[in-house]
Amino acid sequence: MIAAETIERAKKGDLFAFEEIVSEYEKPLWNYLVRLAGSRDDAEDLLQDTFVKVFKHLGSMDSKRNIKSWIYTIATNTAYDFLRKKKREGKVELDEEHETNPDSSSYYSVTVEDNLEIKDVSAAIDRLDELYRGPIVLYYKDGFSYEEIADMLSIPINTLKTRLSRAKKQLATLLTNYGY
Amino acid sequence: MNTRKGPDMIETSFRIEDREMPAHVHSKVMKRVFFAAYGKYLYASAAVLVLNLAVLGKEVWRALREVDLTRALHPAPQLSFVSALSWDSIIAVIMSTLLCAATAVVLTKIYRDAKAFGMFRA
Repeated sequence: MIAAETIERAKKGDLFAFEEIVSEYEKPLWNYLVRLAGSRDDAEDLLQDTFVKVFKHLGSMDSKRNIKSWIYTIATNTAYDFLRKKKREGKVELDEEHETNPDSSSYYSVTVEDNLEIKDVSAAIDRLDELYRGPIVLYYKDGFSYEEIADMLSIPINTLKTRLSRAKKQLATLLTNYGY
Repeated sequence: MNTRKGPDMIETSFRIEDREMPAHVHSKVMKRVFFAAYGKYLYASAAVLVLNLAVLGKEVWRALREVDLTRALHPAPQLSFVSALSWDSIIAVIMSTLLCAATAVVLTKIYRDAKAFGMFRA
């Protein structure tokens, strides 16, 4: 937990205070971004971009706002922008169509031919559709509330609940496919 | 183990393991933050320093050429080199050293509290 006084100092541009904020949140954010981006190199770039944006805009952050969820919002937007850009360049498949058509044959991104060895749920999460990875990590790992996650992702709470539900179904199917 | 009730009200236990963050990532983040915020001042200072060094180099070059020209008249060439170094080149060296020291002090102060310098915006 970061002290309000530290946040105030960081807002004034004190890099030592800002470093305390970075130290507090970099590890959970790293975990979140690795899962969202699917690559450690991309996560490293995204983490840097996120904290540069946090530093530049910290002065305008509402003091009443929870800094953790504010930083996660920036990280989420940065990651989704990056993934959208990658999609435009044809480097990654975004799964937006899956949300509207969950019964399509391409719904699950893992096939038996992948010959993937899943050790636990954590590994299965990496295979989830991109749309579901973020909410499930934010809810079950980072402990955010529905309201906070819905705010971060700019979606209604009901949409979030639907995504979480589908994520769990998809996880169950993924794990069943591999003998769990 | 992370246990929470999902939207379906079914309690779910997930073991979402931590991915270890490489040790170098923290310093990379801080370096990026520092350069994003104050890189332009750093580059401006470096440009001034290069300019000073160029002036100094020009002075030394001029002095060496003068030594060349007056070598025949002086018994000890190294003495003629010293005498050929004009006061302005010595002043240039002092100024450039002082400027570097001042830049280092200012950047350290900015790192500690940028808003204290009204002209800088984080």
